[in-house]
Amino acid sequence: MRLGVRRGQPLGTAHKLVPEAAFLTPRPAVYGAAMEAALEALAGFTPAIEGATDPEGPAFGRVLLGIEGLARLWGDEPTLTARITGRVAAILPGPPRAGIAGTRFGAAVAAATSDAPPGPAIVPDGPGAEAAFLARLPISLLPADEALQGRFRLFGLARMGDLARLPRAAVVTRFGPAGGELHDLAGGLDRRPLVPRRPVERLCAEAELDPPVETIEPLRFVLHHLAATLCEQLTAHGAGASRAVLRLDLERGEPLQLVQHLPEPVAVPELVERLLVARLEAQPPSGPVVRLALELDGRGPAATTQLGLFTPQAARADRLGWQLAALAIRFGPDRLWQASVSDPESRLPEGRVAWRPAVP
Amino acid sequence: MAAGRPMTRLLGQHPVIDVDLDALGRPACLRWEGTREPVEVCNQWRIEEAWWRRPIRRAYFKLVGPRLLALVYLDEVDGAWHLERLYD
Amino acid sequence: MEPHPMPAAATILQGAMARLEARWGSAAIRLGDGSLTAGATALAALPELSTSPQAAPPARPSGEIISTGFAALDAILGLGGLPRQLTAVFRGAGTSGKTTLALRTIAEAQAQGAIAAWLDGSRSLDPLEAMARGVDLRWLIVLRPHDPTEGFWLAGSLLAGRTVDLLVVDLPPRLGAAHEPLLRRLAAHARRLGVRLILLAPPDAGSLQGTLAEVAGLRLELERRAWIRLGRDIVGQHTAVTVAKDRSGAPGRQADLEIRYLADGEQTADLARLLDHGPPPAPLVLMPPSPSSRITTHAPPASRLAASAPASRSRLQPLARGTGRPGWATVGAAARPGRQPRRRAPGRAARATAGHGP
Repeated sequence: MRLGVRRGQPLGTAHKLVPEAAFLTPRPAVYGAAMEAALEALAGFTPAIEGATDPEGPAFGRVLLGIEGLARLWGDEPTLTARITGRVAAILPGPPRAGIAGTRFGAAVAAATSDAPPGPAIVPDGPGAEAAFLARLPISLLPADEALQGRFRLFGLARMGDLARLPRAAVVTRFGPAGGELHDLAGGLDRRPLVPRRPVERLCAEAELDPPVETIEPLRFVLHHLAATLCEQLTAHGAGASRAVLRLDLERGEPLQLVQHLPEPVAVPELVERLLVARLEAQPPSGPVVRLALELDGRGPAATTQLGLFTPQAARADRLGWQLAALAIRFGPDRLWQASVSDPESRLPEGRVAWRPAVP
Repeated sequence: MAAGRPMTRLLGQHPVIDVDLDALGRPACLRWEGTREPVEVCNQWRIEEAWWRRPIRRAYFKLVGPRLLALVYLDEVDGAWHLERLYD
Repeated sequence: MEPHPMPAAATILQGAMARLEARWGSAAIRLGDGSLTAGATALAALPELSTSPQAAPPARPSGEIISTGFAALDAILGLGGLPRQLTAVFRGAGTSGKTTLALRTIAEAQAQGAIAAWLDGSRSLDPLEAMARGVDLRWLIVLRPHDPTEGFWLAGSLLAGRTVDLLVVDLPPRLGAAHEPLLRRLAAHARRLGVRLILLAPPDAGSLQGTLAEVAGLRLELERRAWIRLGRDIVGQHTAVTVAKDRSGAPGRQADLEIRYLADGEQTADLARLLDHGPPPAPLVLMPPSPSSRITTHAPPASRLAASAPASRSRLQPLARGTGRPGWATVGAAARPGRQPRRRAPGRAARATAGHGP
């Protein structure tokens, strides 16, 4: 980073900055799975836990825990932190850094600026202590965009304390509402609530088939009812299924298991049924089926139409996604593609564009 | 090029082609899939990269013939000529 | 999810189609002598795709006529562009400019809210070129079938879902007579569903010649007339377009199109400019227009990608303060919490991948 390499930078640019660097092929699925496992492990300490599992997200790699009241269970703050970091140390690459403070921003800064893992950086408690801790730190640690950071520099504001000492009204006047929020953070005031992680709920329903079933139509009938039962439970939890696992036990031979990722989290049984039936038609069971089990991997909330893309096509994006998922089952996922410009500065034409399956 | 050749733009796989050179070492004729197309060079440049420690050195030529406008390159690492693009 | 082969057993298809026909009526396509029903509607529109059961499917774009992207060409077409339910054939040799014309048409359709698809049997579609012509890659699905027959099936199934408004089929050479009914069916299917179909055909389409003539409501013949040179380099071309057939107008009219290429070599400079700063300066017209034709120029336009959505702001709520320190712990290996991701200009590339392609 000292050499100017930044996350999200095109690879060509990074290579120009540091020609001797080794560029490794990313494995987002592995990173996401590791973070998911870490969050699962940390959930054993407190349900007040927030963390991102999407490697592409800006907050990936950072976990927030609300630790108020946990001393009685897990010991004082250093002891608690040692337990927490010890729990995830085997899951994540490298020893994690930890910080403790009275606000989420203070804790994040403490962790990020900590010099000494595995011990946590603890911001002292007491009135004004957090503000005093933050005051001496660079203003670049505030979550401001490039433009606002540039304006801070123009005004000679180098430390968070420089900003916090200004009257809030003046900061808002000069830098807008965003400046006011940053002024609060710099002064040790963070009103943002923790957004607790929703654990994945796995719901399962099964049915014995007597006599055994040999054709798909009766399977569809049973599947429909299993899906309806599970989706009703998901709806009650305000969750949606992002993955369906269908297992068919056969009268003879090995069971058939179909794992189907859904284009978006849903609790609509017809959608789940349609994709699974398409899978069954593409890969029918080799013999009579004696038992059907359906598991839905629920995580919420269920998807709603995304209106944030500001294009007319966005209103049909969900429908398109489902259709492409069904086509991918029938024809194969390597038949449907989308392209994006990945690295416009790449000198190699093949490096400028990235192709990805239209159905992940 | 054969008239039935796909009316394509970017060729994802960069097929290997045969190139006849003139006295100055520039492409003068493309031979590909049984056809022979005399060409002249209308632009050229070089690219040199060392991504992931695998050196890439290419000499690009934009070539025009009676029936085509094509972008080819000489892979200076393995010495093969490749067809990258047919303009349409 | 592992890839699965197409269901090969005719009995499976027949059973599936029987159920679909019982459910959907006579929407299934029949192939050949009608004894085997084809699977183009095996994935017919799902009954309720919105998570809200009461919500109606979002409306498709209502534009009845879309521009070809070249004003001079629009001017000589009977309806001033391409109508819905039209099969258009763009025919020409290599370097005739038909790919550019198809991409511009897609861009115009997308500007009206269309979702487009491209049947790319030869795996040669250049996304950079597409973007340079104004195509929004987010709403372009590229179909890469294993063979032409599968391509027709795949295209038909895609259209049946009623989410795609425009389909371009880059016809491979040497298609045989066996593909004629598939092509005819695809065109009829598109017409019935109100989807615009554009077929890119070579000058000698062999046995498909008759079928193309039959299905086309509009046929344009493209021929490169001259190169546009800048010194020795070739930076574009002049293409003559002749309306060979137009159900809505008189045939025989002609327009000249001037097509500028994205520069090679230092293409990155052009692309960066394209993404950030708008179109390049107006090109120099090297050929005076003839009295009987009009020249339309197209140079790569500025990207029309939508502006990035505004960065979300944390919702600030009063922090309930209890006794003692509320207590936050942050654990992680992340870098400093500092700056927000740099807001990219419209069209700026997404972060780099490792460059894996199909």
